[in-house]
Parts: sequence; structure tokens; C-alpha cells
Amino acid sequence: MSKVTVQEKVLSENDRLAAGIRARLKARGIASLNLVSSPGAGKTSLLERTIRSLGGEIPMALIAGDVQTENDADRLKAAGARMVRPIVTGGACHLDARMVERALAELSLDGYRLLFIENVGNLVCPSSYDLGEDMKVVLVSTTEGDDKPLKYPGMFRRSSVMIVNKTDLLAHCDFNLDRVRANALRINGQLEIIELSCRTGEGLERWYDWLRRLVRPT
Amino acid sequence: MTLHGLAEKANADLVRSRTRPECGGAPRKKDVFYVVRRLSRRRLRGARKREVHKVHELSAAQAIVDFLQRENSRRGRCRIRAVGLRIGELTDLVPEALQFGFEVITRGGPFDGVRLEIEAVPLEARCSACARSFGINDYIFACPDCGSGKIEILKGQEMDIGYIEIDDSVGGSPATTS
Repeated sequence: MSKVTVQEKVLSENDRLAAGIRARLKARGIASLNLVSSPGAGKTSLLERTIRSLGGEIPMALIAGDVQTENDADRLKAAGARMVRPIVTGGACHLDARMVERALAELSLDGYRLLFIENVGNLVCPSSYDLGEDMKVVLVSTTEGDDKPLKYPGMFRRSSVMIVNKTDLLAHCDFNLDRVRANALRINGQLEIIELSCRTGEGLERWYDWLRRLVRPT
Repeated sequence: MTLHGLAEKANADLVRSRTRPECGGAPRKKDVFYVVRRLSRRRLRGARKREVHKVHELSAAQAIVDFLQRENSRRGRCRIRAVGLRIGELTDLVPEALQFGFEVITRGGPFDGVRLEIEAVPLEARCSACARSFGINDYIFACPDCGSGKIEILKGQEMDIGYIEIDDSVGGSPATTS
């Protein structure tokens, strides 16, 4: 028996594809965000709102991942998005770089400034898969537990922004805003936190401003 | 199309072909079942292949199998007995699930019986403010000295393949490649 040292990452193939995607997007001046959350936190609602309010100002393309159905992509199109590509994973719990690469091949990105990748609703598996995005945006909603960041540290550690959605329901839930902030910052001290309600529109302006800063040419 | 739908379509095709005069009349029941069975197996094989992506431990296991295939073709015919992995605490990868997934997808193939030797790597970080290195316990991502949350993670996020163990008594000349 002999032991041979190797230096390789288990997901090296995914990472290689992701690096390629990142380089291509960067070369075209397109910012990209990987939107993650548990199912039902409001990823699609946030994108619908964003398309309606900001679509004219910032040309955005979207990739909508779902385990089954193209419902999310249909909702985004109905909200006014012109460049949407669905990915139906057929059971897979996360998007990977290969799926995104295939979807990108079918999008024409000329003139677009921002790419949203709406991941499968899941706070575990998508954290390991680099999709070539600039950053991850994680959503939690007030109908969930405010300990979500502690339960899924991998995802909150790797995200740059945490959006707390459904603030209009705060009065009806045991969710505590101070607690979720503290829990999130304990996992990731540099996390940008934005609280909003996709239903009432409260707080959305802060999110839009953050996006405007993101796509502003430096 | 569902498995059931596919089988039904195949049956209908068969019935059509059998009822054409040049094919010799009505289908025999045996033939219909045969098509269903053959199709089911083919569909199931396809399904099993796709299944590999479903749980992230299985995707990781598949990536390890791909790596082994590359190593095997690169090193010539050799016998890999074990793979050494370093799996970080923050990867959400469960060693038992990875082991199980690996066993399932290698069963009956060239890598059946290859051992996964998994080393769990705890989280370690360095404070960007005071430069102290420390271990992260209970997922508190802050410097225990100055309390700063600006830290750089040094270890605990990796999913690395560190070594392979090769049986020198079989095939090739793997020992010279290290």
C-alpha cells in the first residue's frame, strides 16, 4: 500500500464552472446575486416587487430555480421581467454551477446590469455550491423562528445581506427583530441587514438603494 | 413524461406495430409486458443516475467518484483502496450520509469497497482587528479577545481530497507518480 498526496477540492468541477461564470459576468459588467431562503420566505415576492419598482431603472435578468414547476418564472414574467430562465431541478435540493451555466447560455445578457439567481428554497445544500455570483442574499421571514441564523450558520456566514421579510406580520408572531439581528451578527458580523415587507412595501426603498449602489459603476 | 406514461406509450406503439398486417396481427400479452419491463429498467437506470444530484451528500459522493475515475485513467490501471477527505465543520456535509451515498453509488462498480477516510475539520479563524488566531466554538464568529466580528476563517469550510491509498500489488506503477 502507498499513500499518495493529492490536492483537490471535492467540488472542484463546480468551482471551476463557477469561476468561469463569475469572470464572464464581471467582464460584461453584470452584478449577480444568489437569493437563498427556506421555502416560503418570499424570494419570488421580493423579486416581483423589485422588478415592478426597479426594472425600468436597472435592467435585470433572472434565473428562477425550483424543484418542480416553472411557477416562479411565470410570476416573474407576469411582474414584467423580460429576461427570465427557469431551472427545474427535478428533485435536486440546490442549484449548481452547471445548471446556471446552461441557463445563462439561453439568456441574452446584452444591456443587462444585474442578474438574480433565485435558488431552491433550502438553507442547507445551496450553501456549498458556488454559482459564480458576486454575493449571496439570504431571506428570513417573521413567520419563521428568529434563531434561523444559529440553525443554519453555514448559509448566514456565506451571505453578505440578510433580508427580514414580512415585517407587517410582526405583531402576530413571536419573532423578535432584535433577537434575529443579534443571532445573525453572531454568525456574521459584517452582514448587512434589511427589514422589509413585500406585502405593504415598507422598507423596500432601502433594498432598492442597496441594489442601486451595487450596480453603480465604480 | 412519467414512467407509467412512457410504458403506456410504448405499449400503444407496440400494439400499433403488431396490428399492422406486415407485423403479423395482434400483440401477444407476453410482448406487451416485455416492453414495459425493458422500458422500466431503462427509465429506472436513468432516474438513478439523476438521483445522484438530489441530496448534496450524494452530489459530493458523485464528485468523489468522478475524481477517482480521473485518477484511475491518469495513473493507469491501479487499485485505489481508500480516499482521504477533509470535511470542514461549516460545510453542512454529514460524514455518515456521505459514506452511505458513496457506498450506494459505487456498489457493483470499479470503486466498490473503496474506503472513505473522513477527517472532520473544526472551525478556526483569525481576528482582522487584533490578529489573534482562535477556534470557533458554538458558532460564535467573533474574536474572544477584542470581540470584533471582522474575522477571517482559516479552517472549517473545506471539502478537500487529501490523499488516496493505492494497492501497489495490482496493475500499473502508481508508486512512482507520487
